[in-house]
Formats: sequence, structure tokens, C-alpha cells
Amino acid sequence: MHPLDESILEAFRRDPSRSFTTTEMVREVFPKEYSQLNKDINTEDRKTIRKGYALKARLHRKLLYHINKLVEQELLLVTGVRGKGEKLFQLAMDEGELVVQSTKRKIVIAKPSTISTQIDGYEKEELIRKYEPGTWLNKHNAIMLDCIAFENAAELQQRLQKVFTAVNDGIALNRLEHVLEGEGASEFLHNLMLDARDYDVAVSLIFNFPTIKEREQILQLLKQILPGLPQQITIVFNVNPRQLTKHEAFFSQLLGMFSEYKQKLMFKNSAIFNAPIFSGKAGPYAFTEEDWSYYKKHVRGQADGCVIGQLTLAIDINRYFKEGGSLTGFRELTARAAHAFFDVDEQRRRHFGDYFGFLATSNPDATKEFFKVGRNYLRFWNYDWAESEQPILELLSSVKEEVGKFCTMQETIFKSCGLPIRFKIGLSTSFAKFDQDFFSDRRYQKTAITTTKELQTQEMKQYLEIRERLFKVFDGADRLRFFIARGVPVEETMRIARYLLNAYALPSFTLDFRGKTGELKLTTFMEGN
Amino acid sequence: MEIRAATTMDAWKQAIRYVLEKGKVFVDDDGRECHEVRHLTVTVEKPSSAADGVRAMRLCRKWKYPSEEELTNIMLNKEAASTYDYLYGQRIFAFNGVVNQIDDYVIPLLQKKPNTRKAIVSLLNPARDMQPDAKNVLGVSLISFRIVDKRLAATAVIRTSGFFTGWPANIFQLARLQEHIAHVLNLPPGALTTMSLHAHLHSENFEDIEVVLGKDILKGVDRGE
Repeated sequence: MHPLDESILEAFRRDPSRSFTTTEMVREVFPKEYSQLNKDINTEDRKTIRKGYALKARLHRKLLYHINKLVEQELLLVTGVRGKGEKLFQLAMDEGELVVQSTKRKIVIAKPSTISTQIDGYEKEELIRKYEPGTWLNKHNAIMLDCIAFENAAELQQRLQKVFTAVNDGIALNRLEHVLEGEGASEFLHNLMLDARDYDVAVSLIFNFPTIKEREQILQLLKQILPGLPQQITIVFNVNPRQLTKHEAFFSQLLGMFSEYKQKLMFKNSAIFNAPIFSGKAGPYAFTEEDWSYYKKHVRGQADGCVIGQLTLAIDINRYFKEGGSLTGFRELTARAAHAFFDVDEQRRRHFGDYFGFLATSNPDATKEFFKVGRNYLRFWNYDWAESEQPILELLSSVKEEVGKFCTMQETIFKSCGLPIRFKIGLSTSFAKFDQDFFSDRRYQKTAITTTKELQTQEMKQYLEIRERLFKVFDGADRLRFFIARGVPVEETMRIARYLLNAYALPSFTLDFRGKTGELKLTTFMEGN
Repeated sequence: MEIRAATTMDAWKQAIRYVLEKGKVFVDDDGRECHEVRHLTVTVEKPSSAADGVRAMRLCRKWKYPSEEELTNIMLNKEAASTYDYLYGQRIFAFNGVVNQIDDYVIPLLQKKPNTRKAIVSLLNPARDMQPDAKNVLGVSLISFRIVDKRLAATAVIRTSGFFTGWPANIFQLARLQEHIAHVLNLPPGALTTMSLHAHLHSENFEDIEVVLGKDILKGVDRGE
């Protein structure tokens, strides 16, 4: 078998449920060349652009020859066409194991069957929904890479090539300043934006303010990327109130840039919450304080990051109760969801080498630690405590307790059987992007913040206090977003940021400068769920 | 104390009743109340019944108990790559990544010297496991194999044994290993014994014990409270 045939099959082995376009396959098989041609195509120099397109055409032709050969051998199938007539290719098997013997090696591709779980009935009733069910077995929701583990941006980019194929929702790059202060930062960010868009994975660029050495350089880099920032990218600053006040000039400039380019900026309040918080498309992710302590003590220094999110299920609370669901039934539903997570976890453990082995590093201990702090997420949509007849916060707190007990029981049982596993479920909010067809639609009057005073009304005070409590229930994995009206001066935006950092125990909040257009859904105003 | 029974279920029930009657109540490192006895030896004369405990545990809908497949894999597969802190199979078949204690030691030794008492497998690795803040330290620590009456007997020393949740899995895994070696030696498996240095039951599991093993299991048991 030709080495290129093997490389193509290898890409399918890593992601057996996926359909690839030729372009996507070029990126998988020729990562270096793909990166170069992208760079060339996006320059200003016409000659270089032509060179880039020529390389792209050459690689497409070369690869198509081998793909078509595999189609003829009935190993691959053409499943459709995307964009400007680009064919989509998929493995020619529904489920099971495909063993391809080449002269030098054996490639075993395991395509999982759809797994039955205890929530299948509820799913048919549209009471619960899996996030990305097609990759339910072979992908993680979210991974965080700790940039201090990388020498430079190029090394991080290399690691990211694997990580992008392993996740279906979000990637966080913690302490990104560490690699951006070195060489190749612009090119790295450029490629990262392309990859985030191509893979449609949410990427959070997390800057730890106190460890930024070259502040001016970071501002300049952000200025370069903000005008064309894809919606998949979120910028996060980890800062405490004192630092914000002390470095007012820096943050004024930063907020001014986000306002100018109409982007959103997330603040993580390090005085309230130590661990990183970031967003995927399905919802936010966070470490519990306990997991973060474990991470700092055992994972950091061994592994270059960790899996944070494994699997996600979402429940539309409003729909559940509107359709006559009872509190007892809701608890039963969440209990079944916990069982379903465990069933799938077992399958994922069984096929660990096939699905996730490619993320392993040369150090087996580091590999173990990489997977040590992940959690499954049970997310909720439309849980409006003001309108609901149910005591939502109390309900969520009790569900958290019950689900936690189940996790502990499972860990104890397996540990006593000589299988020391980690099994955790976190509760969190869900974003609309999780599955817009599934979630019920809720509409709110458009509102945006223009002054700090609007945050000091009695109504807002109550709202923020409830959000503080929700953050606790969700162990930090919540999102609070304020739209900033157009034309609000930077000084006022600074006051808003300072007020939110100082007055409330909010682990994080986002200031969104994208303005208001028409009537907004809950998802775009002060978004919590 | 030594308990002997023909089948796994009988041995298990007797052991549970013994721990409940004689166990001292204490609170473990995780803050849970336990009943514990020290030095409990349980022998199953017919290890072919070893899966019965696992099957009984898997019938309960309250929890998910490991499958026979996963338990076997953990015991016999040295390459089960995963996120487990440790794997019995790796310790047995590839200790420190290099020592295959079964194929390179136990089996050749028993083939060469059928009366040997040296056919032991060590699972604990002091260099890795003996860390003061280690959360997970192996339960099954040492396994001895001996040919008795033309049968392969096995005895395992278990550091601490949760007799309700853990022991059915332990006895099943040990039986699979015993069976594997017996097959190579062309001998039938003999008695299978566990020697638990600490055998315990969690108080929170008392109701579950009745669910799995029947209401009668605790009848007449003085729980020593």
C-alpha cells in the first residue's frame, strides 16, 4: 500500500465517523504544506498568492488520485458535495472494524456503532439531547493546553494539529502570553484563526495578566487579529480588581480596541476563582477548585494540558415543565443522564487506544495525567428563575448533589474492583449553538448597558446575586454577558468592568461590543443560558 | 478467621455476615463509616463459580458494576492503554514495562518444579505506589500459585478489601488469572483463596446488601453497633 493511502486511512482511523473534503484531507495528510500554502494565499504579494494556489492544486490532484483509488477498492465512499463542488468522502462501513493490511503495517479502523443508553427514550421525547452524537464515542468536548509547557508558538501549533482533531467543541490556550512573546506569534495566530474556522471549534485565548511581560506586544498582536476575528475565537483576560485599577492605561487601551472592532472580551476574576473558565459552542467549561489544585500539583509539569470536557447532554428545563413534567420525573431524567454518561465512559475506556491514543505523548505518566481531570457536562437551557413556577436554583443544587453521589459511588465501586477510574459530572448552562433546532425559543426586550448606574438598580442587583449563586452551583462553568451599547466611552466601560470585578463574586463576565440589532433572544442579551 | 465454601456466593455471604457481626466500626479516610475485621481468609473451592458475584452485582440498577469483559481485560491485558492509575494486568504481565511475571517466571517455574512455593506474583511497586498522598494504591498485592493434589491452587493477599463492592470483582479476576495459568500447565484450577489484611463493609451499603443478596442475608446478624 502506498504511504499516502496509509496516511488517508490513518486520518479516518483517528476520526472514523467523519466525512472529509479533499481540502480537509490535504490538511490531515500534508500539514506542513497546508500551513505554507495558507500562508502564501493570505499574503498581499500576487506572486506568492499564485504560488500558494498552485501548491494547493498540486496537493489536491496528488491526493485525489489516492482517494479515488481507495473509493475503487470500496474502502471509501463519496457521500456528497460541499461548497463549490468539493466532494465529501467517508469510510465505506457503517460500524465494526476494518483491517487494512499493507506491506509494512496493519491499520485497524474501529467505527463505533450507535450506543444504546438509558436516555434514548427521553431523547425521542425531545426532553434531552446529546451534543454531537456522531462523535459521542471518539471525541472529547474540550481540551486545555497550558502554553507554559511549550517552548514556542511553532511547538504549540504542532500539538494543536492533533488536538483540533480530538475535540468537538472547545480548546483553551491557557497563559498564551508565554508563547506569543516569542517569535512567530503573528503567523501562529493567523493559522489558529484558520484552524478554528475550518474545524469549527471554539478557541479561547486566555491571557494571565500578571505574567504578561511584553504588554505592548500583546496589545499590538490583538490589534492585528481583532478586525477579522472569527466568531469561534474568544479572548479572555485573567485579572483581579487591583490589577485592573493599577494598570488602567493598559485595560483602557484594550477595551478601546474591542469597542472599536466590535468584539467581545471576557474577564476572569482571579480574586474570586483561580481556575481557568472558557467557552465552547455547547456552553462554558471550568475546573472545580479541587480539580484545579490537582492539576497544578500533579498534571502541570507532567502533561502539556488536559481534557476538561468529555461528553455533554442538555435539558431544556422550560420545555420539560411546560409539557407537564414533574419534579420527580426531572430527577429521574437527570439520574438516567448520569447513568448514560457512565455507559458511554465505559465504551470510551474500552476503545481508548483506538480513539484517543494519538493524543498520547512519549511519557505514559504524562498521558495518564492528560486525561485525569475531565468531566462530563449536564447542561440546562431556559431555566428562568423569575418566570418558572419551580424553585430552579434549589432544584439544580439538589440535582448536583444527587449526581455527585452517583459519581462517587461509581468511583468507589470501580476502585474497589481494581479499576481506579475518574468519573465526574458537572452541571452547567447551555448555549443556543448547542442545537438551535432542539431548544425552545425565548425572546427578551433588547437591552444594553450604557452606564454603571444601570448595574446598580435593585432589579439588576437581585439578578447579579442570583448569578453569583448560579456560578457556585455550576462550579464556575457559567457565562454572564453584558452588551455594551454603541458609543459608550471607554472610561465608562472601564467603570463597568471595575464595578463587576469589585462589587460581586462573579468568577467571570463578558463585555460584548457587538451592539444591538432588532429584538434579541435571551441568548444575546445578558446571556446566561 | 478462615471461611471455606464450595461456591463464590456461599463464601461471599458468609464473609459478609462475619464482617457485620465481628467488624469494628470506624470512619475511613473518605469520612465514611465502615465495619472492619482484620486478617480474613476466604476460600472458594470451585472457582468456576467466580462470575456469580459479579453477575449478582450487575443486576442492581442503582449502580453500574464493571462487566466481566472489562474485569478480565484489566487482569489479563498488559497493554490496556487507558486512564487508570494502575492496571493489574500491566503489573502482572509487564511489571515496570519489562517483567512478565507469569510467562517468564510462574509458568516455567511450575513446569520445572511442580512442588515449588516460589511461584508468586508481586503487584505492588514501592517506587510508584508508596507516596504519602497517593489516592489509589492497589488492593491485590501478592498472588501465590501452588500445585496441590494435581490442581493449581491460588492465594491472593489483598491489602484492603471492600467485601460487598470489591470482593466479587477480585475473586472473578483472580479466577480468570488462575484459569489462564492452569490452562497452560494443563491442570484443572484448584481452590482459590483471598487473604484480606483488612476486610470491610460500608454502613451506607447495608440496604444494598439486602437488595443484592436477599433479605435473609442480614437476618439474625448482630451488627456489633
